[in-house]
Amino acid sequence: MQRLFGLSVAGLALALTGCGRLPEDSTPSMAVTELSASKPPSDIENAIRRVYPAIVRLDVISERAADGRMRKERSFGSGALIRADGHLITNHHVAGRAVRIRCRLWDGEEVEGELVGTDPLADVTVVRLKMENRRRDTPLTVAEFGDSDALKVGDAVFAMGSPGGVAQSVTRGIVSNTALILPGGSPSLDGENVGSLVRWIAHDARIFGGNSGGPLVNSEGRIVGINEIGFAGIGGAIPGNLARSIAEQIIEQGRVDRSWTGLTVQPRLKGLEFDRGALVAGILPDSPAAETDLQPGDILLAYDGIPVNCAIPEDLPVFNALVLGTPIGKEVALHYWRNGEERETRLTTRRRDPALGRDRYLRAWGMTARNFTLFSAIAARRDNTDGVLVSSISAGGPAAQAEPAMQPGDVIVAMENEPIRNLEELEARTEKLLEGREDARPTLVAFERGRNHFLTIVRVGPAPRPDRPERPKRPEFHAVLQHLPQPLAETLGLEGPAGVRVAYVFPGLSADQAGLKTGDIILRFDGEPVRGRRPEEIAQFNRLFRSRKVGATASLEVRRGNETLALEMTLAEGADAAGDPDRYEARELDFEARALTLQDRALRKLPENLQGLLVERVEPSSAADLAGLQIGDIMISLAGEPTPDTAALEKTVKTLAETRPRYVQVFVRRGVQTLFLEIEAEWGSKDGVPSDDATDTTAPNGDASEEERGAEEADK
Amino acid sequence: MSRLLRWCLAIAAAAAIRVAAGPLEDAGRKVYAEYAGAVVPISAVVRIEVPGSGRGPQEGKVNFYGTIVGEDGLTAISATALSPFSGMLEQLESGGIRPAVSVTQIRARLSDGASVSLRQIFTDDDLDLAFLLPDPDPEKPAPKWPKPVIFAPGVEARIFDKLLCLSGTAELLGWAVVGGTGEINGVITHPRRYYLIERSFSNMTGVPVFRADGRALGLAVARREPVSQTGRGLRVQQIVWVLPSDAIAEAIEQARRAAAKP
Repeated sequence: MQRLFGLSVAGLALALTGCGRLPEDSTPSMAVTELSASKPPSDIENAIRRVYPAIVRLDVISERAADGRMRKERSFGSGALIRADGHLITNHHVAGRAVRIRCRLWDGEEVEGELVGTDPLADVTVVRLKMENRRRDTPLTVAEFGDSDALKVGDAVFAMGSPGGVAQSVTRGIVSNTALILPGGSPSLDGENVGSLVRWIAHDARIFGGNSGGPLVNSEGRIVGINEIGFAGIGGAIPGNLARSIAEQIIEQGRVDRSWTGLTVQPRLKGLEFDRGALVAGILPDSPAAETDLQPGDILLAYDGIPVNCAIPEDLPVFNALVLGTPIGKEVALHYWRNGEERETRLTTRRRDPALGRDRYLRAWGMTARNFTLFSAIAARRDNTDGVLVSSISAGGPAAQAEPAMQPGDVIVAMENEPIRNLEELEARTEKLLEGREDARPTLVAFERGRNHFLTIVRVGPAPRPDRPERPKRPEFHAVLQHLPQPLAETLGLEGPAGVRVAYVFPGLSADQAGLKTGDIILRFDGEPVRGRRPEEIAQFNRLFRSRKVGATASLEVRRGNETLALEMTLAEGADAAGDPDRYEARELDFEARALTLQDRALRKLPENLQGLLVERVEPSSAADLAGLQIGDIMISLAGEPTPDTAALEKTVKTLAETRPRYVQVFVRRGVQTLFLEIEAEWGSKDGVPSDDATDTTAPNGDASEEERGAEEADK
Repeated sequence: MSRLLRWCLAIAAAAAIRVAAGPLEDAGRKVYAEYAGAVVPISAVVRIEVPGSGRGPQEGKVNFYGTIVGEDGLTAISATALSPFSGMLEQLESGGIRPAVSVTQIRARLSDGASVSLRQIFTDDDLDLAFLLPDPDPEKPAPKWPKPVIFAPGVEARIFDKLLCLSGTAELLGWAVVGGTGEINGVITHPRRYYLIERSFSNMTGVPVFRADGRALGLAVARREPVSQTGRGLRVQQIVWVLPSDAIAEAIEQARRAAAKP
């Protein structure tokens, strides 16, 4: 089973913990420093000297459609600078879905990167360093490409990159195979079958998680491949010549143009008495090939005058590259064999669409959706690309709560009886629908599910804030009680079922005022025995206590050491142990915090006068997460404004949403320390409909829906 | 089967029905006729998140019954219907972290088919009681509320007293309201009064229970206790019992006060 060698953060928590950050003015790493003093350089040293300073470690936040929203994920990978103006090459699976890229150069300098363009079919992406944001003016070291076609089995190669996301490394190996294919199936990225185009350079230089996107370098110090996969201990690199041509197109025009014919071929069957050509496997409807005389079973002998030979699976990527590389709109001649005679037909190629459209988040619908591309429309057996494909749904969102409910895979075709042809129309209509409204609006929606045409009402609009129901004023015991299992009770000299132990008394509150102390054993409450041999009896006692009226008095019979004391307690209000403390979800900043309870103060031994909120949720890979905000932090202030309660937090967040500062300072208490954090905020639009910035993933995104997934492999 | 035999069976069945009919059944039919419309199916979207669990929030739709207790549509429900951890947060707290539950999109479907939006105004976790107040769409005609069930103070019962209940069929039979009879198995008096009822009588919460004279005795609510918490989930023990009308009447007043606040 092959593995992509990008590195997700999830599996690397320990390694990251030990990762120290180099200071901005740090010197180059030891390996290179030492090389500069050695003489004469060996092949290894030469290769390292030329490419090592061009290696870039990428710290990437990507987005993926899931559960009705775009979920952020953090991963690490490698790249190599290929242009002095800051362009670097890496894998699509490293940075092709990125919304934020931090690039760390070989000498520790960190520069923000931006996605220039991406090609999931070849798993190649180009990122540009934002040179205008660099703090240094030292020129960048750029790696050069070598000729990957010249590689031979046995040639020495070096895999370079940032495995583990923690350091740059070089490993050495030899080329094991120059045209590796994966018989078990190759990676599918955004619906594209990478192996249909790429024959990997196999090598045994060790690569690890995080090596993805890093260069494979020959002994002359030139890039001959871009590391992508690991397979049974063998590394696989995209050939440098292919990667270079794609990168150049992306740098030049931001995309890769390819031709499409709709013709699929397969290796010749063993029973066929041919020693040349490729077996025509299928012809997609409405494709250029469908307008020719070709039929499945024909033997394609030549394409555009170039002989075709597909005897084994390794030959297929060669043919596919030939077709994909044909100028768009070119008329080509196809020579083929049928019924004992050679024939000719012609077709005009068309621009090849991506396999899948980009997922976008439609907050007002509680779903993600995408446009159909030509391929995905064909795979879904649709007549055209009209409609919007629902790719994921939030279980509690408007689309899921519609009656009948919508599902991933549904295709929205009309809204309020007006056709919806694409996502842009759906977004524009949604924005218009919600103009000037703060509440959801019931909307008639027509959608298709397979062959069925359904109508539903979706309450399109901003996600409602949950209700905060009032709770009754009930007395609180203001002490933590411990049940006493029988052996413990006997050890403490207790007889019978009565007796619970006081584990903590909240200072200054009713139990403290009544004179209760930690270590006391409560035997009776208002004359009744207090049972405490099982844990649930503590809850029962608390319920009993809460059944009394606030302000009433109650008697406690308490054993303290060898003494039995009678205490009187005035029952005071305080519902936080039983109820649900106030909480506020700062959606704009991707965290949630709640009021501190007495239990929080007791468990964390917080200073009595500490005013703050407990951070309960931080959206993974969000700006708050990247800033280092952690669950369990006590938020003391936000943007300089104290946050003693959720109302204050809400007010500050709303103000920030209006002023939209780029950096928001958070002052937190963590353990016994206090520290400042800085959230680099990502503000969406001010209404319920996210802005383009907030929704556009800038890269083809998301997995194929079930419907598409089944068909796409066969269709392409 | 011969025609004669079929006639005999029909006569026997009719006789059996006639024999079974009595004051309790008559009262039951009257209660059903008056109050079946007050038992309404309700749906809501519940979001549960356990902070620090590494899992994102779980969101889903819940369906349950409530009882209309006010002429303005004020509806009483079991608090656990909206929050599975209601009344258990204290026991579930671990390391200062509690499960967070939030509820949105509460809607009731009335017997005339109208769907009405509701908001949660008051919750008493100790009693497992919550109140919902209609939040009707101002652009639509006001819903026509059915006759509410009145929970008056001082309506009590003793062990083995016969009971009437309105309950429902949930999704299976289109949320139809059904009636039932039963009896009180036990009376809890400490620290609060509750009536234990036969499990087969009604295992549904949020539905009204009546005395044989047709007066509302209380509302079926639940008591839940966490039994054990494992990596695979939480095991909870639950009992459905009847919260007496005294407590409900008092809580209705509290809910009204809460609703009146700006």
